[in-house]
Amino acid sequence: MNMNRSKIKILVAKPGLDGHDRGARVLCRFFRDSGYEVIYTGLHKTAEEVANAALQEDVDVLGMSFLSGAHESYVPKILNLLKNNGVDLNEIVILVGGTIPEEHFKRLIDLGVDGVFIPGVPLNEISDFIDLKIKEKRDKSEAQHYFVGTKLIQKNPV
Amino acid sequence: MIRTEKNIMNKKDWEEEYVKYKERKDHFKTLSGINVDRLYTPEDITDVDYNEDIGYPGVYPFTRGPYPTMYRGRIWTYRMFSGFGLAEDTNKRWHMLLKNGETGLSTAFDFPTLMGRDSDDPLAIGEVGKCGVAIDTFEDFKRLFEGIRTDEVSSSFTINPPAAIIYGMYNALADVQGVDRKILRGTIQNDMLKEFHAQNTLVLPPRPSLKIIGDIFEFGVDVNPKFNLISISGYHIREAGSTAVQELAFTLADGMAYVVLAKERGIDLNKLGPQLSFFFNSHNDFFEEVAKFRAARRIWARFMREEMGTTNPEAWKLKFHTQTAGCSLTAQQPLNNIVRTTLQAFAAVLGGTQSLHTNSFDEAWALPSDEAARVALRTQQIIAYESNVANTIDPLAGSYFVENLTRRIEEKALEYIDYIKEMGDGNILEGEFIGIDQEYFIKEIGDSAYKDQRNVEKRERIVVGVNEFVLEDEKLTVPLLQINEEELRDIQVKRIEQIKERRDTKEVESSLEEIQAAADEDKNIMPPIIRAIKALATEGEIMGVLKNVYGIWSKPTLL
Amino acid sequence: MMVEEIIDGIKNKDIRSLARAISWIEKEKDEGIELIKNLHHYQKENTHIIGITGFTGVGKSTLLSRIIERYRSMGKTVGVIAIDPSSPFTGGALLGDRLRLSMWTDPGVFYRSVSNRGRMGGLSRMIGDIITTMSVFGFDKIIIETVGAGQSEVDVIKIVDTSVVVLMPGMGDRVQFAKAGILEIADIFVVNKSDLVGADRVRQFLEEMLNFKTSEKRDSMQEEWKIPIIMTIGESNNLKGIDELVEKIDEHFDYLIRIGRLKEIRKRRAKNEIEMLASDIMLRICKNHSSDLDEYASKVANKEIDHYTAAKKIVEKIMMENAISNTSRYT
Repeated sequence: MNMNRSKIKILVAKPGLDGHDRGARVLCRFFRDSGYEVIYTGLHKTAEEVANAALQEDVDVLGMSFLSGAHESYVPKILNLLKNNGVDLNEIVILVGGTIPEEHFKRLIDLGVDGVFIPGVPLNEISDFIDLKIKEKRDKSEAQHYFVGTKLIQKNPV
Repeated sequence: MIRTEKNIMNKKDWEEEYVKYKERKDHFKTLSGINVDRLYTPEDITDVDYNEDIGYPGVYPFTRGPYPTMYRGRIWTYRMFSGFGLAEDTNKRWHMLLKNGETGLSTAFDFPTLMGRDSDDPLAIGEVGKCGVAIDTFEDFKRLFEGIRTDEVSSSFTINPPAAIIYGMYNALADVQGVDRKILRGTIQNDMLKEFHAQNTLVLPPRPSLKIIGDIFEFGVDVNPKFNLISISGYHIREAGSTAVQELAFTLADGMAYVVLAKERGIDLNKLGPQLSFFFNSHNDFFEEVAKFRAARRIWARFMREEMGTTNPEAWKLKFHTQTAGCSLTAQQPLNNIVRTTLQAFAAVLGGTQSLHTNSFDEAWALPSDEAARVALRTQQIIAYESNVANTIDPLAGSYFVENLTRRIEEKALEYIDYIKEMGDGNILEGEFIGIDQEYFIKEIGDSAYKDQRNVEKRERIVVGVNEFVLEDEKLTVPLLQINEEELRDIQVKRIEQIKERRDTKEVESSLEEIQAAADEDKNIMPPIIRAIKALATEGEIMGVLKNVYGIWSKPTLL
Repeated sequence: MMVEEIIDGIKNKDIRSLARAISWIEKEKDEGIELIKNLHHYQKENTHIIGITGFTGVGKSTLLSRIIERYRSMGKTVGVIAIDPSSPFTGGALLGDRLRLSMWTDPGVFYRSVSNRGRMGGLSRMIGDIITTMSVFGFDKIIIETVGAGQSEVDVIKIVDTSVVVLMPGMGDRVQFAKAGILEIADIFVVNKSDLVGADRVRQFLEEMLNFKTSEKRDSMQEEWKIPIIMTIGESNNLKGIDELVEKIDEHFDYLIRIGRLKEIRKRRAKNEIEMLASDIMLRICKNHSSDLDEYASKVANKEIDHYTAAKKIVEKIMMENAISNTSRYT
């Protein structure tokens, strides 16, 4: 890995009332041990709070964890707030993880999410994907990669 | 009889003779990391005395079970945790489950209810009725029990910071139905310590949270003598990533802390003891789980009798509910989850559980569909009626391996318990407070979770369908229960509005003031809470009073 | 985004622009230098820079939230820079125990976490640049939160106007604090969690230390700042000492202005920065003379010449060549 991960800032967020933070915590620790800068929002955050943290910290990656199904309400809301505050969503890598039904994958990607991860995806695949997307966004490269469920897919722009 | 050249007289002889055979791995370990030998013999249980340590079902120290007949007398309770949508949706599912042979109700509340917030709270967005049923006022609660008599079923409520409110609602419901509060049966989870350690349903700071639990104990031993006033839970500790040993140790330590709390409040432990219940996880490592359940009963009995000096044998018995491990379910090849759940349920039954929830195979994806919930219930019925394992009591007793493992787990759990006690200078309740303040529990559990995740990635722990035996191009589709959250929220918000218009505002305000006064003056908050419930104060309003008095608590985010 | 755009944004209080500007500084991008060059003269005159230092566990985040709450109730805006340690092994860092809920969406509060990673002498310079940027944005108070571990963080505390050091009972960290030199640079001491056993012992220890210090420099003519020790509790149901603390912090600032010390402090900060940048430039130029460097290195290795003389000769040579222009991106 040639990328200097220490210059990549990741916000791991737990929006909503769901208190299951095992995954989020394991992930934060893994990110730190892999050399990234990580900020964890802690539990029970509103959409406004998450968006504000991402905005003020000017993060490179925004990862959101949901185990209660609340992603349907929170993801569009948070992404809209970011946009309204002048954040170019193409500049940040947006990830969603947790118990996300497959029927929702496409909807999330259409909203501007880059990767949807379900339980069981090895952590290394998540960090590899982050590095790939950071490079892709920085180079503004043509090929677009997405992560859906357990798989990396490539999509050329239409 | 086959004879080897050497006369094998003990385990050492045998190992010396046969150790040359190559094995699959260098070390075999339980899921908790306890070493497992290739063979167990009578030599491995010399530190176990049959009468003293194992004994008989229904006889101290109850290693073989709390009751003399166990499942020969009555099959365990099928207690399927369920709840979603509005009160009337859950009520419908309950009637379906009861018709299908379920024997006890168990309520899943949605996140706003669990956190003591109303459906019109800004943080409730996206969550109303989603992971459980939405309850804002006593009106919702009555709808939940439409057509169900509180003197006929036993009802369990998974609720913690607002436990006093929901518990109060059940008592209020009994009053409305004309049922004597003294005969109410059921369980209120009411276990805040594990929330601080693992489950994170956090509202009030630790000491006030425990004060309220003390109030519930004090109220319940007199008013509802047949009701379990707490469900001391290891389930969530395990789900947060602990090992089996940590689950057992922290759960029992929590239980001991509650007993010390009750003692300090002057509550009669002989009366309270039988009203304490436990709730464990059943994970994949079959024998380790069975050993864990057996060790739990032994440690608890000795604590209650020898350390706390109770004289009522009913107070010595550890009785527990089990749920199969949600964290073991995989999103990949979801039907495999039926097999996992079966094995876990089987361990719980051989461990002597009093009631059981079996997970549905689709739960790694979403809330269970009707079909998945039914298969889960049928799993229990097949174990109960087709496998014949319920025909004799504690059939694994006497297994050299299981008795040895029970002992090892007991030892390791006691080490943790002693450490927690030491943190509090000999007082385990203070040890819990200090451990929470220093994030001891969070760190211990977090370390285990991280280690386990790394083990899965290094394929030191095999998860079928995830890191081995993976299906290429698997189509991940399961039928899902669809919930239209926005619609539910609208309905609930309107209901709150209407209730606030028509209720007696003066009575609401005066009852809320009474709660505040009771909290300020360190009096029992249960009676004024029941008054406020009947006056149709919302859950959020009552919780708001408590937050004002006691302040709020949030979990530290540094890991 | 272009530098001019960002500068305009900052002047117009656009959060997104401020956040991006800080990233440039943090990531040591050329845009960051460009930014400071074009921005520094817009700095507000009376921005109060406050340092809050204390080890993990003393309840710093909670206390910080309380202080901000107090300032907000007084109508002041607050910018926070929270410095967190990075792992010496992986370089990774876990940042920020971010503030209490209510502040996350308060437009009068800006919170930014920064890692102290691998920036030996450079951390204080980087923080200095961030302070400059935040000052232009217009915060009344800029608070730097740090655990004060290691020299680089102590250097950061040295650039603030008012330094608050937070301790708590039972930490047993006397020695560590003394070693890190933090006790020396406190303008205000706080004993937090003062309801715990041993709080009085900590206060006593501090009083003794302060008595010793004042007796050392009694002859000074200038008006003396009497370092206060404030006992606090940050937990919401049991608040104590917060108003007093905030009063003292502001009193200290008034004192600095009254005796003309604020200008001195700003000058000292600038001097520090110039020194560091200058030595950076020299180092770069020196490294650009790799053939000379090689030559002298061989001579030192062969015992023909000592390294003191060698260094002096190289510098003399560089100065003779007058090579300072066009060699560094800092010029």
